[in-house]
Amino acid sequence: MSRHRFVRGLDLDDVVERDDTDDGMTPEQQEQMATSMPIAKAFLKDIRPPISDDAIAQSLWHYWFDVDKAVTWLRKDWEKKGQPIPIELLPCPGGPRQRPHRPSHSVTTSAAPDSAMKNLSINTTSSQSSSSTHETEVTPPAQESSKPMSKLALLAQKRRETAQTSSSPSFQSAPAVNQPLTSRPEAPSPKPLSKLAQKMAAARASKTQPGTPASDTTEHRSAGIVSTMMRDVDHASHDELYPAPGSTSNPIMAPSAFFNILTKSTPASAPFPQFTYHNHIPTVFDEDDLIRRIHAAFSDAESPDDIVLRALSCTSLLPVVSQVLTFSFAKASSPATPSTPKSVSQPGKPRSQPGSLIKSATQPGTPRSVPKPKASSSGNRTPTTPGPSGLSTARQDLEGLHLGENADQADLDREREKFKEKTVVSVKREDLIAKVKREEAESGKQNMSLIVVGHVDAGKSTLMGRLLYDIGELSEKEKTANERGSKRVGKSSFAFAWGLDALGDERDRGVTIDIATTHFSTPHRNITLLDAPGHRDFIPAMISGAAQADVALLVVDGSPGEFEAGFERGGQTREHAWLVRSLGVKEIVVGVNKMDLVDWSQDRYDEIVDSLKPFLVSAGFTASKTVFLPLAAMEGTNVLVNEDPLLKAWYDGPTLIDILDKAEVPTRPYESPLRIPVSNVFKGQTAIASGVAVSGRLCSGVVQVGDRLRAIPGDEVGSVRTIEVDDESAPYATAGQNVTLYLAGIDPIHLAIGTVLCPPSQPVSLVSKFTAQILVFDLQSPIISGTPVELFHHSVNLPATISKLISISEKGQVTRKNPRVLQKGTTATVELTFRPTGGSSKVPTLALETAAENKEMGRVLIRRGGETIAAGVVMEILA
Amino acid sequence: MKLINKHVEKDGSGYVTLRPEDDEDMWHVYNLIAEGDLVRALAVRRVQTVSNTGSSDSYRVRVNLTLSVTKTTFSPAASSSTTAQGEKKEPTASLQISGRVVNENEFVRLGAFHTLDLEPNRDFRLEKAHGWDSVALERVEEAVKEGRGAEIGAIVCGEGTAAICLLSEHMTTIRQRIEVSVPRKRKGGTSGHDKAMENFYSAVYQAVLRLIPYQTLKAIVIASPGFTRESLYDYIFQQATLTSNKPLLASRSKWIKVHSNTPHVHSLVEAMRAPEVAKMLQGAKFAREGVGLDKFHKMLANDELRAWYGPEHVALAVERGAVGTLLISDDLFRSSDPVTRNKYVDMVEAVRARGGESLIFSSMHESGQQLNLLTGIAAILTYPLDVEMVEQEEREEKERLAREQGEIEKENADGEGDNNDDHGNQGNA
Repeated sequence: MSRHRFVRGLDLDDVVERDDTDDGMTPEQQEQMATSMPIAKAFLKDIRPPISDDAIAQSLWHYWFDVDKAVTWLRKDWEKKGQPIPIELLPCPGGPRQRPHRPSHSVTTSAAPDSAMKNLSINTTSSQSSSSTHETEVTPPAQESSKPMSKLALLAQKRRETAQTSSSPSFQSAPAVNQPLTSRPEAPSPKPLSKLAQKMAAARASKTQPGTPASDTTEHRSAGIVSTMMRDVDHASHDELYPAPGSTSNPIMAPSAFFNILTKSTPASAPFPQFTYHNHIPTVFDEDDLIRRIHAAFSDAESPDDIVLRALSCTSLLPVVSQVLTFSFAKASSPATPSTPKSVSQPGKPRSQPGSLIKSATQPGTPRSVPKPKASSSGNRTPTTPGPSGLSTARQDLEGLHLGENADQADLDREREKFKEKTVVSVKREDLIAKVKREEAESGKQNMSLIVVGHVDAGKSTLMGRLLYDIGELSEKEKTANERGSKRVGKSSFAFAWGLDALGDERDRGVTIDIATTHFSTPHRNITLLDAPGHRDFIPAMISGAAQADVALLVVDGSPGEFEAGFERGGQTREHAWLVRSLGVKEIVVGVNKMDLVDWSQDRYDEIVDSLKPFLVSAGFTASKTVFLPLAAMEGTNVLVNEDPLLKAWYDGPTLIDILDKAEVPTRPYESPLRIPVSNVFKGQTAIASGVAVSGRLCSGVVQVGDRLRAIPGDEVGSVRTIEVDDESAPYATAGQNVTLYLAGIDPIHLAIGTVLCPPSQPVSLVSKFTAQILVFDLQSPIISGTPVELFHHSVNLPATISKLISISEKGQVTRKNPRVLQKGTTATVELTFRPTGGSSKVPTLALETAAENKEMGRVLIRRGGETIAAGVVMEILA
Repeated sequence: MKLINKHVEKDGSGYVTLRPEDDEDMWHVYNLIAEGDLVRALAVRRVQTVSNTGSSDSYRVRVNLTLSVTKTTFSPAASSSTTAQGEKKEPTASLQISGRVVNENEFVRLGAFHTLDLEPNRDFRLEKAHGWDSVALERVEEAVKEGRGAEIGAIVCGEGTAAICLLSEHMTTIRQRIEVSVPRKRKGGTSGHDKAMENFYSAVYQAVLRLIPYQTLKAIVIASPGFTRESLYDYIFQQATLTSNKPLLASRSKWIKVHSNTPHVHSLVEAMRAPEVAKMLQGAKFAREGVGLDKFHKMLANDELRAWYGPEHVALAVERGAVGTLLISDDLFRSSDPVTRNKYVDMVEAVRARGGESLIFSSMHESGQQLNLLTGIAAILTYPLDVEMVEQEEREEKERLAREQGEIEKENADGEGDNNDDHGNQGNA
């Protein structure tokens, strides 16, 4: 007869009714049972607590009264109890026959294919019911707790068993309470046991905790919670429950289930479902409730946690938690203090770290305040705690448990976000500007660009090489290499200049050809140094550099005849001074170089100063802001220090570095839209990053990593991958800084020297015709309408025509309209048009803005036939 | 250009038959043909016939057509397929002439429009609508001059940019522009710069081989600011040596390195003025133009009253016989309005008549383009004249004339009245 059919035919009520009476058995079976039962009981006698007869009978029935098999299974089952038993293991672990539960089972399954869930519940209920009686006798906490506690008790029971079997099989009935209290010789006791002990202790601690108004009812409930929790906790890795030695003070990131229990103050506020919620997502919680509970629990607690908290609040990770915790730990004292938090740790202390008793003994003060869920602790470990690897594994563990299933997905996302944010901090533009301003005010260190100008061979590069060497930016090794190299080609006097003149041509010819950009810092300034070429052919490069500068250092040659050569017509001293002034440099430092060649003659120095001063004033520099100083670049005198007795005799003013340290920095237009006129485009690798890179100075605005920038001219948009400021990677850069941006998503063919990078929403206008107010310099032939010129704007120069002379003005008043010619020294408004470059009819365009919109983007220089004939500002854009 | 036939009467009527041979001839022809002129040349005409049954048939015939010109289009060096090294290239400039047919034949009706492509080495006959003036005749003369003009090549370059040009007497053609983006010097490695420069030099070298007929040119000029010209020169001959390019190595003496202030094409003017180039050119026309323009600028700087520009002002100066050198762009002679053209022709003739010099700039040269920017006409005066004073005098003169005119008219009116009176008187008498 098929038992399936038999079972199917059963009336459930009937079955339940008959359950106790074992009526389902045939007389022979009953007889078999009667004979095998005592045998089995004898076998299982040693098992504590004794297995109920029912269970034995059940398994016997299941194994067709094969006593041996039944006993083995029962033993195994006991060991496993407390964990959900998989359905296939439940009635027949690889059993010989497939059979539905007998009616003898406490809850019967009427149909053969039970759902896993149902089986699970069957299992738990049965185990509870079967074990509760024993548990109440054995474990004191269980004695107090009523039914819901039984599962905890069950667990405890199971743990104890495993502990017994592993440590000493004969050690049978040591009550759980006694275990931790007895000083245990087997210090490294198996973890499962200690874990249990810890839990138990925690449970008891919560009970005895004076600060917590824990009522019996709450205790009841919490006990029940513990039972549900246990399962989760079991899954969790050990290290999470056992904080690493020395890090027992892991910050409480979020209330764990235990935490909830411990701090449970208002039963009403935490209904049962909420527990599971907390339990699953440690970082998600009811903030107010938490504050209240933490406050209650740790009203006078002192914990090392607050270090972590402080760190936490600094990093502003998990802002809510930090807020909560800072509040609750407001009164917390230093972590080193030996006084232990009375509330929690004392009762639990001896048991707190059973696995590492010795260690815990050496740290009597470590409060085992609250067991922390690892996910929360991972977020804000102190430097002493295990590193991020532990963190991430813990996180993975957590995720592996699918604890987040019930949780608010958004919160999870936010949590993940926090880990990412460490690398890229994207801030709103306004916030960034505010931050930059604040930082600048705090540090007192300002960014400044310095351009070194002067006639060719005045010693600009050498002076800068010397400065960099003295300040330590140029290493001894490089210096000796340069010395050797320059000696080999018979130019040993260029040793220092070689520090900046890196191009082959520059070294061969002993002339700077292009701007060299480097940086150094003084106590109050971060200085970007631009070493300009002095040769008249390379003035375009010099203009490109001067357009990026705030302060100029004019180097003049003090040796006999040389100063005059540089200062007379055709010398670059004048032109450079005009150029830097018209490009917005207001402050100029004049270094009279090579003074050693005239034996530090004060007369010579005064002579030079006297002839330069009126000129500089006429060029538009304020006399008070113009500083002169004698120098000797090769010797390094008066660069960093003034040690030459000959000079000391009559000069006691500041050295070059002193002056630079005090140089005035103009205010930066942070708020204006971003403008970066590109001065260099390259594709390459540096220590920071590789790929398409552009260099340039931020004329205005701020840029941060991740920003999207449009390259004008063109319609291409790229995003900022990395920002390099002074050879270091930076999250953002601000107006006035010289930066290298590594761009993504844009082909280098769309970028050229002269491209302007700007926000896609606020592009620069492309101009082919505009009016400008110009100041005419010294020139050989006057400007007439139609004069072909080259127009310089930042790093670009384009052929243009002064297509119309609109008016001449003096002191802001228009004195003459439609003049025929412009002679030197006049201020005039003219119309400028770009010329089609031979053959092609396409009129070139340039990214320009009026000076009213953006000062630095509105400055132009006009040159013709190798001399600068005028400087101007863009007034109006015509086309 | 070859002059095949010339039949010009004293009064300027008549025709000239010419055979253009190269690009520059095309430019000359373009400057000769004005609106309204009659051009007779071989044309290819598509003829369409419709039969009685309505089926249409079209075929091409080569036929000589005479057009009354309405429009001319010139494009210099449109495209080049010449690859031969050092050989004289085929003309690449094209000239299209549109107009109405004035002589009817069996294929083309009178007044039908036709556009013909003037081809090199094919004769055409030109008859000026308003007669042959001195400037036009001079142009013909110039165009047919044997062995005229120095042809030189020029490379104007800077770091990363180069323009390869060919200059002839009346034209500058930019054969190729090369632009290589060169990363600038940076701290920590200049390899990017060096590599890009190497690329740049090799690109220029390839272009030189393809585009510069260095065997036939008189000179090849490399102009640049800084040291680029030296480096480029070295590179070219290093490569020539490596590839044992004998013709190129043999041309070494023709290569001249000249300083220029910018890498832009307009620096060519500057380069052409350089003494070492000027010597080579031996008074070639475009060299004279450059010098003339330079003189004008210098005069403007030294004595503003002796350097005038702008059509009205120059016309005044010409009127007063003050012009020593007249600088005028050929653009002005291409005016479609015969009156305007005549005005300029008269000015040129007037200056020459007084022993002055008239330089007609080719607007295909950089110097001519710069002159165009200065309104296309300028003059260096033999004695200083204040423009404003002259203008004042002119105004007064005009007023005086107007007054006189008014007086005359008044007198006339009075006279008439008088006459009437007389009549009356006579009648009375």
